[in-house]
Amino acid sequence: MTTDLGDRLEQALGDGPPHRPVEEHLVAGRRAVRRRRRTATVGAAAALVVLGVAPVLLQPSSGAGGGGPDPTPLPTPTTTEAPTPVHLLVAPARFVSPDTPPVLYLYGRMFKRARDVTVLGTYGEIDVSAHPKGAAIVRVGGRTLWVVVVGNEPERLVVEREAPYNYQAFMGWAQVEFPILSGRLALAATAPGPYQQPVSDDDSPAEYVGDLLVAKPGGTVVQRIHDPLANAQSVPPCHAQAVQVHTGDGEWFVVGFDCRGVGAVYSERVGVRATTLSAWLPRVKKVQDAFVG
Amino acid sequence: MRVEAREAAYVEFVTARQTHLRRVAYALCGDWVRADELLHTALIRLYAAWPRVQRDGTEEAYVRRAIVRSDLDREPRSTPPRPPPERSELLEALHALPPIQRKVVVLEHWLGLTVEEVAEELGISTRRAATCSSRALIALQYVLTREDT
Repeated sequence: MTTDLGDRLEQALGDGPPHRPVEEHLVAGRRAVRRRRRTATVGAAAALVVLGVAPVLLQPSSGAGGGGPDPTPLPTPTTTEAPTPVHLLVAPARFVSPDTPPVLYLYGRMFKRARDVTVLGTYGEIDVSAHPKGAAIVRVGGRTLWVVVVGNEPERLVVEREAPYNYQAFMGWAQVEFPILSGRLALAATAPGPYQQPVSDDDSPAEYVGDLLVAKPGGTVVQRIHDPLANAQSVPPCHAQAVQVHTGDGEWFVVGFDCRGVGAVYSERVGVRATTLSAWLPRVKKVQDAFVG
Repeated sequence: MRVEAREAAYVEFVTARQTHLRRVAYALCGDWVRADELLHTALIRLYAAWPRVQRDGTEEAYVRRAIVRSDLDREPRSTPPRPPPERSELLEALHALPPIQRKVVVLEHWLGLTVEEVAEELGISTRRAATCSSRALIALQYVLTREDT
């Protein structure tokens, strides 16, 4: 009876639907290990680890949330074999416009823009948090793109880069881009009035020159705070500075960081949420804490 | 162990054994979505424990134990209600058993573990495992006999 039952169970059980990609287990496992380590170490130590890795992983990007230094060579791909495509639903047409990225979030679920987008890998495909963030490697128009998306449509930010399939390098890049994009989205989404795209690094009135955040030509720094109060992921303590800049176009607050030439700045006009730099910083931190975690 | 080597070994194990392990999960819970979720959760735990588990050579047992000790009948997360899948009468009968009896049947009668091993895997006494086994067999007897005729 025992053998008989075993045989019959063997026959009755099929193999089921296709498996999820092994990378998904791998990525979730890494995340679990990181979470465990985070709880075991002090926050400052964790931040230092991120900072140590960030300059290596953070590569220049393009797109709405982009900006930053000139392109540098990509890491050498280590995983180049073509993976099995990931199935994503095509977004309903009413959510798609000419500037829609290859993948987008609707209600916490990742969709692809059109049928001609082939998704080679995803990270955070489903994220039902209020401010989802995820990434995908896609092939579209003969090009392979790495895409990071933060936020549900239409309040979203995206960075893309053209690069070969390399899941590990892609993951490292995405994990550095997530807090920066989320930090930018936090400012844009919580500013009073209709949603407007955040100010990119290119449009910011300030930039890093060496270790110093300075005004771009035509502007003047009227106040500076070193190591300002800030969200440690969006603004890691790597030459982190905040400035108030006077330009011909008005007054601006800017907070940012720079790790050996790689970083980000977050800019907002004076008066949008505060009138002094010391009042602006804790408000920015509060919204970035909510968006970045 | 270097991270690359560790992950390569992990990927090799998952690739080789995920089909079987998900069938185990499905045999226990009767729902492929839930089985996928159970396996995913177990494999995350495996990744975190990989150096120790691989050193002991107990990778498969570790994942199986994580699956059988899960709450099998909890609804999968963030999935819409689904129509019940088409299943054989035997699977229907198996999934109508109380979870503990279901686990015993799968471990003992399908995977071939001894009663002592089943008891250890489930963290229960040998006597309880044996009782569950005989009660489950009585319940399944009807279906097995009917399929024979």
